[in-house]
Amino acid sequence: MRMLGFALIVMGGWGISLHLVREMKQNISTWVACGDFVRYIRLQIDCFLSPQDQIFHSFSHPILEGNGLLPALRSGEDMEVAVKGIKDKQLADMMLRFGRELGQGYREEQLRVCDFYLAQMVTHRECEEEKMPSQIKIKRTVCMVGAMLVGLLFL
Amino acid sequence: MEWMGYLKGVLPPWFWQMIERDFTKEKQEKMEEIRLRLDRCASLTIGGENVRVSCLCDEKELQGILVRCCRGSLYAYRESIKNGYVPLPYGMRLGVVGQAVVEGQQVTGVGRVSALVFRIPRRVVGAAKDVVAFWRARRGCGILVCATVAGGKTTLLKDFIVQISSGEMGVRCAVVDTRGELCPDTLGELVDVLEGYPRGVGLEIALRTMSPQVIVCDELGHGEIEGVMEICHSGIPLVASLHARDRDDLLKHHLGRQLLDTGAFQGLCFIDRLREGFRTRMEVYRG
Repeated sequence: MRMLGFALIVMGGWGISLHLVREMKQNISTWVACGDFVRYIRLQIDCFLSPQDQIFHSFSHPILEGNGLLPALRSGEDMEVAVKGIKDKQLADMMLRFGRELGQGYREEQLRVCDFYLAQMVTHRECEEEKMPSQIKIKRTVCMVGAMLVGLLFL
Repeated sequence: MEWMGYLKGVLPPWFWQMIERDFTKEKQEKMEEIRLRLDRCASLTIGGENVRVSCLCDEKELQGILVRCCRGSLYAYRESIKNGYVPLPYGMRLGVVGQAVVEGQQVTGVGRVSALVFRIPRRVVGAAKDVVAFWRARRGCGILVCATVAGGKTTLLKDFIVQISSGEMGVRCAVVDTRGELCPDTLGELVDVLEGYPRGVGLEIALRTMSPQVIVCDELGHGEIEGVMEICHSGIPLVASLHARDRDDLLKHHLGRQLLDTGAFQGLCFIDRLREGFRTRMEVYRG
C-alpha cells in the first residue's frame, strides 16, 4: 500500500514536470505567434498601407485566437485589454508598448517600430530556445526529486 | 443621424457632452462644421453662423482625434493628410491644419496639428431640381456648377447624381469622387463611383472603361483641363463644380476661362447662399 502511494506521488511529480515543460513550450509558441503577427503588420503597412482594423481582420493565428488577443483587437478593444490573455508578462508588456506606438506615425516610422519590436522578440525567443533543453532537465529533475523526497517522507 | 454617432466616437467625450448640454437637438442636427483649435476656443457653424464654444483642446487631444479619424492608422492616410484632409464616413471630411513637414519642395506630412475642421454634409432633397430640369431640357449638356467655398456645390452635385440615376430618368452616371464626399450613402441606382482617384486619372478611367452617359466630378483644377477636353470630344456630358461667385468672377478666373474654352459646358449654374439653404441660377453659355 505504501509502495503504491509512493509510486502515485512520483507519478504526480512526473505529471507536474510534463505540465511545466508544456507550459514553457507554449510560452515560446506565443512569442513566435506574436512575432508572426508583428511581421504581418509590417508587411501590410509596407506593401498596402492597410489600416489597423483591416490588418486585424485579415490575420489569423490559432494561438492568438485562443488567448483572445486577435478577437479583442478585431472588436475594437485597445491593446491594454487585448493583451490580458497573454500569460508571459514580458511579452504582454512588449505587445502593449507596440500597440501604443502602432498607427501613431507615418509609414517609415511605423516600419521602424515594427522592426524594433520584431528584433526584440526574435532575440528573446532565441535566448529562450537556447535555454530550453537545460530548463527542461532542471524542471524534470526538480519535480522528480521533489516527488521522491515527499514519497520517502510518507514511506 | 448616423454621422452623430460617428462623431461621438472620435471626439473627446467631454466635448460631445458640452454640445449636448449647450445646444438643442435641432441645432445639433443643423451643424455644418466643428472646428477645434489648439489652445484656443472651438467653434461650430450652425445654419451659416459661427458659434464660439468655450472649450480648449491640447495638442495630445487633437492628435488623438486625428488618429481616431484615421482608424488608428495615421500611415494609411498620409497622402490625404498631405493634401490637408482625411475622408470620413457618411461623406464627412476632416480638414487638418498644422505645421507642414517639407522635404525638398514637397510636403510629406503635417507635424504639429493646430486645428481640426469637421465638415458635415447635408442631403438636401430637391437641391438640384433646376439643374436637372435644365439638363433634361438640353438633352444632357455639360454643366459647370459655381459657388463660393462652402456654398453648396457638393450638396447640389449629390442631389443631381441621385435624381438623374434613379427612377424614370435612370441615366448611367460615373462619379469621380476624389475626396470621398460625393458618393456616400445616398447613392442613386445607376451610379458607378471612382473613389479616391486623382481627378485627372479618374476622368480618364470613367471615360475609357465605364461607358457612362454622364460624368460628375467635384472641384476641377488646372490639372484636369486635358481630361475635360477629352470628355468634350467624346460627347459625354460632364457636370462639374468650380469655385466662383458669379459669371464675372468665373470669366476673370484663368481656370474658369480655360474650362469654358474647352467647350465642355453649355450650362452654368450659380449658387447663392441664403440664411436657410441656397438658391440656384441657371444660365446658358454660348462661348
